[in-house]
Amino acid sequence: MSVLALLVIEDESQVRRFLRSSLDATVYKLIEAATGEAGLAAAASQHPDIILLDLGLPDIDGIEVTRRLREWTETPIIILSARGQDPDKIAALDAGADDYLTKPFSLPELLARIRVAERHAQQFGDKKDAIFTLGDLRIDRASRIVTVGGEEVRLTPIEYKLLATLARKAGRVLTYQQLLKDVWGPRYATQKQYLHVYVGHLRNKLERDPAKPRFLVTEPGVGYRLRLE
Amino acid sequence: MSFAVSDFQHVVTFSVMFVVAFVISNLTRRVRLQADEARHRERRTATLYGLSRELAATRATHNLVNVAVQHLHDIFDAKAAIWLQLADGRLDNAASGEHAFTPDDKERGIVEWVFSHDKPAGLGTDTLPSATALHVALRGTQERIGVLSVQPNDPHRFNDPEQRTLLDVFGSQIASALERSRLAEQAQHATIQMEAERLRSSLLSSVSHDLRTPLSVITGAASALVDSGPALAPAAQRDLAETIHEEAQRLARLVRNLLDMTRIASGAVNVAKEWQPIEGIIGAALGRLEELLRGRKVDVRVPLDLQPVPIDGLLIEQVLINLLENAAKYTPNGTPIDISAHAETGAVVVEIADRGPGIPSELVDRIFEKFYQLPREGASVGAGLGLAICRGIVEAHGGRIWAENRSGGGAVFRFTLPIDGPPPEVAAEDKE
Repeated sequence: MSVLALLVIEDESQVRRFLRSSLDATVYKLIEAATGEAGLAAAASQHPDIILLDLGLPDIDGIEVTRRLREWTETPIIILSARGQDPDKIAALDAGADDYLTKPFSLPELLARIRVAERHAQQFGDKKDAIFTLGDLRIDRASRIVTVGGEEVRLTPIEYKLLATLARKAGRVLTYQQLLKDVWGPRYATQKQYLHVYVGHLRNKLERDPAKPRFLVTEPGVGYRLRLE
Repeated sequence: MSFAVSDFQHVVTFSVMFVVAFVISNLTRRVRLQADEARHRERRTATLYGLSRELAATRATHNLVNVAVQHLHDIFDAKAAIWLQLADGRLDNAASGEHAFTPDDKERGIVEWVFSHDKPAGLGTDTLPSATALHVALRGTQERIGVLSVQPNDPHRFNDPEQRTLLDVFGSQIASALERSRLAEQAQHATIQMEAERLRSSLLSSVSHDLRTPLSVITGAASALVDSGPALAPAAQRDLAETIHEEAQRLARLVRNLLDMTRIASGAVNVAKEWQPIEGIIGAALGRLEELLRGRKVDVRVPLDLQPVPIDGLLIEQVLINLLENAAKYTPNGTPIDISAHAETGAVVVEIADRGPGIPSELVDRIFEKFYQLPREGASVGAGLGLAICRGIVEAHGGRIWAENRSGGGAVFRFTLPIDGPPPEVAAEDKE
């Protein structure tokens, strides 16, 4: 397995040190940047595979860094945010960041996010499989047939589109705005009630226990995630 | 027959008739004038009454300003500006909307003059009559509080002394309403300050202990690892690392609660309500506590057709997390937790029930107070803020939270989430 280049843009040296000492050097190559400008430069010169981006940088704010990165690269960006930074976090996700972690986070949480990002990075540009499976959920994107435990589930066109959108970004959080735009179109970007209602329909059809969803996870205040594993 | 008046008697008759007619017409005119004036007075009284009634029913300063501007427009066919003195002494125009008027620098200068000299100026006065608006000082019972500027569409309007008088009465009504609201706002501000001050001091005393315990454990364990890590048996090393991990999590929880509590107590919590199903939020809270609740049977019962509720998802998730953490903390490992939600008239009720030791009945209400902790064996477990935060958040949603003991043993925490009005519509999907 090749070494994964991880760019961490974070001004707090303790956090960088924690990552340096706990990430296995045989698997991850850590590139460190303490400011937004340094991070943008490092992203351009060293082509990392994944970027970890702190929201509270001293020079440029994380939303702006995300925007400037997305002008030229699709490299997965994972936001590191503190509690109380929710509006900024959502803005960064809407600007093209892929996922987020709330500080304080544990190593297993970080590794899980990195794995998801890695998986998507590998798929980027490749042809996608027609079949998507997650536990006993199976989506055949060619024939648009969805089955749970081998039994076909009848979905309306919107329900299917919503599920397919979540599956395309499986494991990553999708903001309300992204989902509404992708599934219903830009005019619906603020009509969150549509999303809540249709996710409810999907849960009733796909989840064994809709009150304890295994796949369709609510991220309060942010959006929804199709949970992997 | 002739119309000549020759007879002396006729002359007398005519004179008398003339006098009588004159007197009568004079009287009639006076009566009509009086009636006119009465009507006028009545209209003025009604106008003033309307103004004062609406001012009395209005609370916040900016609402008062809007009410005043609207009435000034209705009565004087004029645009108005209301200048209030800010804390730093500057005058600021508080009026906005279609009937507000935005003065130029020259009018601004007059406003400053009127305020400092406490005399009217501008249109219809002796001072700077060429201005487009009339400016009068707003005087409360204690001090000058600002200036009222009125720009009538008819520039001659305030040449009429009666209109001027009416405006003066308007001015004093507005001034006293503004003064009243300003005093009320000051009093409220003082109460909040006092409450915040009290919170700060009790936080300091309660928290310094609760923060120091995990910190000293972490420091001790970490220094042991740094100093003699390799010399320790692997099991001991692991033990120390786990201790650090647990205490750090406790510290993180404590800090989170402290931050939440200070935000709630200072009124800085912004409740962003959205209509959404409660079950998604319950699922999210359970997802976050997976580790803590491992080994317990958690039963969730939410009717499939339960209507969505207008809530701030993040805040209600925090309520559920705090209640579940509490249940995990105060009940033996492995005992079950039941979560359920159901609709009542005008609200959705959420319940979290455990099979622990329950709550001593005399303490059922006290547990929601800040810093209150149920006596529990072993070390102290937190700052006693979790439930106070829950109450703060639920009340900010207009709901109520309370605890009861359950028949068959255990405690149940319930909170209501009021539903005001129907949820926004979701159009049915076009079938393709």
